[in-house]
Amino acid sequence: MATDNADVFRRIQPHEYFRRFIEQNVRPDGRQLHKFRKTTLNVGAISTANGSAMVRIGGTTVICGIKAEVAEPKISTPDEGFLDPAHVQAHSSYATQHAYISVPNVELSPICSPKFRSGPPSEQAQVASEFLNKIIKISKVLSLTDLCIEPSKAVWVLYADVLCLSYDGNVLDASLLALVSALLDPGIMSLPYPMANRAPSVSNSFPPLVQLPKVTYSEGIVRALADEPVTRLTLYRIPVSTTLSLLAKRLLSDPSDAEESLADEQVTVTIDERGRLCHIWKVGGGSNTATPDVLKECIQRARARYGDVKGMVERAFKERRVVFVASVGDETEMDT
Amino acid sequence: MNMLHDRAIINVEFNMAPFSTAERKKRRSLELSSSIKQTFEPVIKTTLYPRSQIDIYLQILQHDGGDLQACINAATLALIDAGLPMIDYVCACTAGSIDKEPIVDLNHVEESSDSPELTVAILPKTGKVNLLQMESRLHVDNFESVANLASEGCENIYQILDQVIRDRTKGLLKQMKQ
Repeated sequence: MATDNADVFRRIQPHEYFRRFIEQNVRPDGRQLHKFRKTTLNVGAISTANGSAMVRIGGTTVICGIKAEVAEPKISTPDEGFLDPAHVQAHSSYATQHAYISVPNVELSPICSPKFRSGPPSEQAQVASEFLNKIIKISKVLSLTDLCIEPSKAVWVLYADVLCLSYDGNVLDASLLALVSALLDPGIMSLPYPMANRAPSVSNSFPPLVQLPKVTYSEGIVRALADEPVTRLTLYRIPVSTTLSLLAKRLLSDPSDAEESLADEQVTVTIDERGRLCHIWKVGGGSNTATPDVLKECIQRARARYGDVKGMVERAFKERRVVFVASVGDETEMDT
Repeated sequence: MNMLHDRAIINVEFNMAPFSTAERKKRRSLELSSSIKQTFEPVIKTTLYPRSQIDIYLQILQHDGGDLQACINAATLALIDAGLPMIDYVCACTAGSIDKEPIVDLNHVEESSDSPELTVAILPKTGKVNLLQMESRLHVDNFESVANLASEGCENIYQILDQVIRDRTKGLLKQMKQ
């Protein structure tokens, strides 16, 4: 009987319901305000893709698949490859001065939640795609010249597709983690390799990445060399994001779907492996809710979260098996 | 939105993730959706849910042949998991023949060869054929052996699906009793 009443209360007065929990410094699912839900990482599950990763944060599950193809480079950048969206075909025979909107594609479909409809990407999906795009591009996570095969003639194109399988809030953190982990995935043709002697700024605990076959270019044909060791890309920065919602004047880390829909404001902070700020994004709310102190707190929590995630990714990659899972629960204490 | 006054409408959407195939392409097949819808319409007791819609969403994450059969089997399990009453399981299996030798459950490489591909979906209790689809050429003399092999495959799949459902239900009952 008591649970029915609580359920009814939650439906008619959701704000009041949440406020009562949050004022006691706890959330309806039992978490403290700064704790993330259990995060699980599973790498290399899709053998048809060059790189793949599945991330679960609580009830939100996303899967990212990376496929590499050869294409002609854009005229304006003849020695750079690119990350491309679902539909762009690069035909450099048509001189175009406009940069393509190259975007990793995030798909939020009815399969993950009844709030999404099938058809063209919803606003939320487009926003998520653009978020990933900004992080990868502007933070210079990849060096696009690494993707060049033969300047002006052939470059690698990486297609990144993120598919949401179940939705319970905070799809941005899950998508970014899946994308970065998929780029880190050794792929199914793992060959022993020497450590890259190009000195990336990334700490050596992250192993080399999407493995592309070694190719030669001659007379307009790109040939893969089966016997040669694979080409390796380098990720120059490893960004990890933390999303927080402001609800009833409190900061909640990793909002669930219910919390997201009730929140006044939302902040997403992206930190790289050196603790540098890659990206900060704040939406919603009036000017009286988020003070600079609040933003400082967001950045602190993002730093703590980075430590947790880094440990998990390192554990996941320590074993050289194709499929591995590592999880980080919410037992880690936040260092203030 | 469409609505029928005496039964539920079934809506099927099929999607293939772009990273699921060897060459990247995004495919939404209407034909497959339509076949699956027609397969399940007589099986689900739609008259128990008038003026409603039942949505079945199918997503292929990794593709290696046998789309239709995998979708039908997955849909059967999902419908049972959702608690929707059906008159029977629907179990599907593919079969073909290479060099006159009937083979069951073709993978992508076998599908791409010149083997015909026959997909059969049966209702295991009665053995009735719910769906039969064939692509490429198959000589009518060989048809029976290939079709029988597919039906046998369906029987095997039924055993597996049934065992999975029973195990899960036992687990749920155990949790409920605690």
